Amino acid sequence: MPGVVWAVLLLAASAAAQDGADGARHPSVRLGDVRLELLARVQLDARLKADAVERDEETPGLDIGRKRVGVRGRLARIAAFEVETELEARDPWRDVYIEYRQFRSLRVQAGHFKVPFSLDYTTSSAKLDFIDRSRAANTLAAGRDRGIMAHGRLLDDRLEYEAGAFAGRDTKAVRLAARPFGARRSAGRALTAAIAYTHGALDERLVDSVWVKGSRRRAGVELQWQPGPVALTGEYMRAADERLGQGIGGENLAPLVRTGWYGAGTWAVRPALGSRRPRLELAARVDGLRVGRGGAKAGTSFSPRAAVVAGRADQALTLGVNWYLGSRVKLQANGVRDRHAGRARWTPLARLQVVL
Amino acid sequence: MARRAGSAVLSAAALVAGGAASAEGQSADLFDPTVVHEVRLYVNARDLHDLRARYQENVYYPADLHWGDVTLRNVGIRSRGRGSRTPVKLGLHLEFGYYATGQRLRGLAALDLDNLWQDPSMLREYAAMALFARMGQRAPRESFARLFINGAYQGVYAIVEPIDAAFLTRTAGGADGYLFEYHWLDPYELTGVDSDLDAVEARFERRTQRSVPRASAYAPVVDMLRAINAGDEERWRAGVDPYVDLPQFLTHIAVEQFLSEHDGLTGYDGVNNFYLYRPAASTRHQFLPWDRDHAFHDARSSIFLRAERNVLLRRALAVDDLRAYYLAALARCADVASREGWLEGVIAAGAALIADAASEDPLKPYDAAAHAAAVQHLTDFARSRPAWVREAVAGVRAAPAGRRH
Repeated sequence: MPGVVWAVLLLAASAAAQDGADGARHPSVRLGDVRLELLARVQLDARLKADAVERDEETPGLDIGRKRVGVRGRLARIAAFEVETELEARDPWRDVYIEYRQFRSLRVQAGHFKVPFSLDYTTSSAKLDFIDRSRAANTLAAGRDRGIMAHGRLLDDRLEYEAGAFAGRDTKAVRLAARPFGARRSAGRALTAAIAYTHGALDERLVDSVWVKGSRRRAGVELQWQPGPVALTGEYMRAADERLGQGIGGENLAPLVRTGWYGAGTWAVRPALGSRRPRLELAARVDGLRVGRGGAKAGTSFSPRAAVVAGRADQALTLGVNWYLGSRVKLQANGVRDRHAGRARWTPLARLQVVL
Repeated sequence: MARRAGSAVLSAAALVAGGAASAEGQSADLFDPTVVHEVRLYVNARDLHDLRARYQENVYYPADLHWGDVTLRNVGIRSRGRGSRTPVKLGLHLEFGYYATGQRLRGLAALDLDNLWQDPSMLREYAAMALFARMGQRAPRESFARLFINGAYQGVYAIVEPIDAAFLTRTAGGADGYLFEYHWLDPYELTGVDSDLDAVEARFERRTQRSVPRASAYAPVVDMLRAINAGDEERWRAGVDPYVDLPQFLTHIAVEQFLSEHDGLTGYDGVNNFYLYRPAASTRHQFLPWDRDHAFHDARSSIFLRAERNVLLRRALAVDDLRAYYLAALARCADVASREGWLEGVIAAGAALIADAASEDPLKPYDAAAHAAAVQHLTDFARSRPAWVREAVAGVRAAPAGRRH
């Protein structure tokens, strides 16, 4: 394991022992109105073989899921920036942006960051309730891109908006989140509902060899309710990709439609967020992804250039336990039940996450 | 699209429901050797570019196939061949059910379109397989076609019947036997026995009965190799006989040797270009011929060409009655080929049939003079080889024991 990983692990373990409080403060320096924070995170993942069914897509074993370092800064209340990179990655840059943030109702962010679509995807991997994101988020979210985005909160935080334009695929994105009962936490007021939409250009081959060309339209709906130690979250997403000129004779084909959803719940067994005691959280999620239309009936063509892409659906159940050791160390254990080659299987996963 | 408007389109559902029966209304036969068929493939331009760029890989692409009044949608096509693989004149393997389960063409699950890249006569494989069949051997059927891809003429191709379950059904009356495709990995002469099933499977890829446990499917193959290489000369024949159909093997070899085949079971670089077939209720294997682009090499080549290398052949020829059987099979080849000028007639008819299509072939890597010279070579071979073989057989029979080759 590279030395930098050990250094982060040891430093963070030490910090955890001293700190122990949730809502950790990162190591920082202040130079007048400028405040700089050092960011570092390591996620160590153990992925074990599912019950006698070998996973084709992932090799069982131990690996380092993420090794990220970065720096974040603020200039008074006017501007902020963040630079975060993944060590030893082919495409290392994660969030690299500057932000004008003088007003709560209008902030402008420019650089390389996540397109505002899907709650699951835009939630930092350090804060996820499960080791892996839902299939829907992994497949249908828009990823990171270079762009500019305006965002802010209005009406006493009851309405939050994000609207941006991104260069990579000429994507326009908008997300509106409403807290109809206000932002403060109480049983009635902990409800957030959001809708999101993106429109972009594409010309690419998807994983299952289907060529898509033209525009991609995504639409999503999110719901969150966190009245107390129990939190419920759900999302539905739909992506429709045009297939212009993708027929065998160059004719236009029906768009490829992919839909995904999940419903998740967590229960903080030791709910004291601010306490110094370890916190245990139980989590469960059901998620699904569907590609194409209709079923796989006899005679259905699975050709990537068929007039209509035959439907394929995939679902999974994830059960998990999250154990927070202070604010910097989190242990996660998940069991994922899905189907592979027609057989149901359980795949155990574990993650040790250390944040500096 | 206008170019497809006149075609009767068979829907995938109808093909699945009807299987082979779906093509009953067609008048032409896919392997009718008296016509040059016209096969048209339509491939998305991007896929065709990709297929040419990745011609060394076995990546499938969807294509629409038109043959006569039959149209099959979303057929899987990929590049094929070893030495004949080229992005210029693509050799193609067509799998009709690759994207649409159960789709068939006249009951066939697949077809090969041989680009005839390495054979200036364009007739070697066609004539060689005809002789195998005439000698009572199970051999793929072949016919000729003009191939068009997206409307552009690609040249003359041989339509080759794949050796698969449908082939077994036609030639053996059922597909419940075991079929193994031999893959050339290195110069191998059926020597040695590898107890590692992975190694055996790498050479002999199972093509049927894939649901049978690997160990039981391959056990007779391993036993066969073990018996072939067993040390006891006295009991060798008794040990091999349960695992190899020796008369069939020797007939196969006789046809190869008559044809002066350079890349078969007595190939220049080890055994090559064959399938192993084992009936379901048997442990005895037969050898099936494949890819005869290197036949008709030399009309005066020995009837024991490289016979000492292939362990099975070398040891079989050391057994008197098997040796006699082999010589008789060679003589029979000569008779079959020469009777009423049969082989010469096959070559002449084939050459006349494809003459126009060959001269218009825009992608063949040889010119018209080379084609004509190659056809003449085959004709001369067909005329002179039977007498040469008869003479060689007679010479061996007359020679004293111990000096027979």
